[in-house]
Amino acid sequence: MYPHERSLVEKYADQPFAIVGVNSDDDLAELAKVREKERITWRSFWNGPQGTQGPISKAWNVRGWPTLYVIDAAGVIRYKSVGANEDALDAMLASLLAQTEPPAAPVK
Amino acid sequence: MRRRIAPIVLLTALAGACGSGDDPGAGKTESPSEATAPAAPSAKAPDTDGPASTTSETVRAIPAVPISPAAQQPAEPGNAAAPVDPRAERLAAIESEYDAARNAFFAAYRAAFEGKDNPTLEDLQAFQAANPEPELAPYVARAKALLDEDATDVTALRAIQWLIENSPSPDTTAPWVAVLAQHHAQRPELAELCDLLVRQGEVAFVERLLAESPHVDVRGRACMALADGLKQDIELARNLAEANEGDLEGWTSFLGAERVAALRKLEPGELERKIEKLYERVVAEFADIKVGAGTKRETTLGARAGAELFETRNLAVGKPAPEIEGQDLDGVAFKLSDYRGKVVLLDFWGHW
Repeated sequence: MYPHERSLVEKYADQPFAIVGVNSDDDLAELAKVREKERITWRSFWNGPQGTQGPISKAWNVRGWPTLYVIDAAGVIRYKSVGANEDALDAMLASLLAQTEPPAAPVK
Repeated sequence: MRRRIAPIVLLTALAGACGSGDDPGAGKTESPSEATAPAAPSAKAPDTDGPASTTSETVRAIPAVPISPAAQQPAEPGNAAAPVDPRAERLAAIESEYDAARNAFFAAYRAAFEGKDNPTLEDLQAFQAANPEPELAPYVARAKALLDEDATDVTALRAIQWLIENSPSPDTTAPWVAVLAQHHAQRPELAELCDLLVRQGEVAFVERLLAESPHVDVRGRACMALADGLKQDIELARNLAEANEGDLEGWTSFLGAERVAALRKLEPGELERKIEKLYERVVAEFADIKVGAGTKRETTLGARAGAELFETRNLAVGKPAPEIEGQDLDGVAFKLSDYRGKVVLLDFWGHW
């Protein structure tokens, strides 16, 4: 998944697109090394010390990893998947971005 | 609690096992699970029980499908103080010897590919030629001998459970389920078998348990397992619909052509209503039943079904994404809604 995510970040660098992670590792120090090695530049929430039993994944009823959601610019869920099908994901992102106006001012 | 994996899948699984999280198909479920072909080809690692799980975690092109944590904790037969039953000892030997053979196989795999990021198909084929997977058949014969002597005691029940768990494909579970139905349908222990039975395609028997078991725990677990199973079917159907030709081949070898054909004919809308009704029934009738007792996943059927209903009603395509407020990995607070105006790929991930 990381290489594909890196490629998405690169491909859509000029577009209104972001990856937001929810990370369920319980060891942040160990994870820091992974982030560096895998060049994970996108931001993630931390699911807390309970790992997969943390509050965010619980609230979203996540029971399989990775679980992916695509949320459009208006905040509406447009796609969800347990496991990653890159082709389907790419098609969804491309179609949504084609419909999404670039922001007038840069979004944080 | 683990299954044989068809060779082609095993090869891809082994390839994936080297991907250290980079494998796009690598999925994980929260259950410390096993390579269960139809339902749980992939499992989250943290507290898995052996190398078989490690392999199954990374089956390429077969994304994660969650399974219930409860399936993993079969009740122990008898209790520690009871006199040792020679039949139980024989079954324990079958289980431990088969596990040891598989562990040796996966240890050999790890030794062969340690540190190799991307073994080639040739590497994997050479490895498999030199290290054949342990044969299941002799162990099955020994477990069957236990049943032939006496199919009615608790050891027989546990032997049936082991046989079902280790059936190489769902269509080989039928004879064991027939024995289960004939001699054990009234037992309270079947509560722990519902998830496994649904996963192996034995839906009709689990529906019968829901209707007829004298034990509320069995009926509750049956109801939950049926709902979870249908939810997995929808997920599998979606995966199949999105699969390219190569993925489809992998799926077909994994699930069998018949099951793939059935899944491709599913009507998700109809199924979703059925699933919702089953979860509602769990909340109404079986909410207090505990699952995963003694583990960090201990919960109740009511809590689990409630979370499923929340997902169905609030986390479906077309619904506004709920807010997430939290801290990033460096401790800085932010919100999901900070990204309004952008298309967001929200990725629940872990490296483990």
